[in-house]
Amino acid sequence: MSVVPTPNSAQANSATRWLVEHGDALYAYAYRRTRRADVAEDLVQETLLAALASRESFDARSSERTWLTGILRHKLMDHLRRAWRQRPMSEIEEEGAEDMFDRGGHWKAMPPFWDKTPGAQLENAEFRDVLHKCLEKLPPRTAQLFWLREAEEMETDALCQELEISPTNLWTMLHRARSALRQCLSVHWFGKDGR
Amino acid sequence: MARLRDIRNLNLTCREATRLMSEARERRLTRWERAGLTIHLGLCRYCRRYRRQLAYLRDVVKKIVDEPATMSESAKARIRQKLEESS
Repeated sequence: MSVVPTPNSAQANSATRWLVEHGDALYAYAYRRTRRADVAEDLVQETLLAALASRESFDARSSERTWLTGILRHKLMDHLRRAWRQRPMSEIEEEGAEDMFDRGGHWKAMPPFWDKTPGAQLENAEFRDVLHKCLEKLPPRTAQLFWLREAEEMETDALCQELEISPTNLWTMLHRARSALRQCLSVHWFGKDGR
Repeated sequence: MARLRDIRNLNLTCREATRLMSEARERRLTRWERAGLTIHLGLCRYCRRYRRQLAYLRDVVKKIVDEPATMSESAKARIRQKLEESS
């Protein structure tokens, strides 16, 4: 493939070609980490616009997909940091779920038994519905972190640096998210706690 | 050498144990934390069940995350138009 300086119409052509060839992959990358269609679409658009503006930085030895994904990742982290700053810090103090423990720190009630396998449950549309409702109940920033963490197998140290948050905050929020989800599914799907 | 504080920390509440189980996915627990958790889990049926549910939840979420996602045609059309406008 030749990389020749091109007039505007050809530039537009290459951007629309990127959209055709890489749009779904870029979207999947962003959606996986945000679980928000609107956010993922915006990120893909920003990425392609940024790529158009900086075509010279494309190293022909790397693949277009890798190059575009790199830009997208940058945009994604930018987006998360911004969202992080805009929302009130109080969310960190909020309890994600109703307290499951008594004053002595022991379970108030036995967690209910979770039957079937995850795969079998997911084939049940009613379960998926309850699961999505439980996920939607997470506070927005907690949810963002949760999805990013679950989609990324990366070390949380690196994640904290990119997001500019402290590891302790991250661990606390992830723990809250997991506890809240576990609690919500226990109550609304697997049966009332200990009753 | 074990300090008195470490030895006392071996005695975890369920609240502490559940937090450590979650954090174990994010960082390497200290030797004392691991020991405390092992002892606690050996004794506490409730927390063993919690541990199984954490693993269950992780599997469920992983499966959802891995489900394929594609962009809607209307979103593609919108982006295409934007790209054409700005070049």
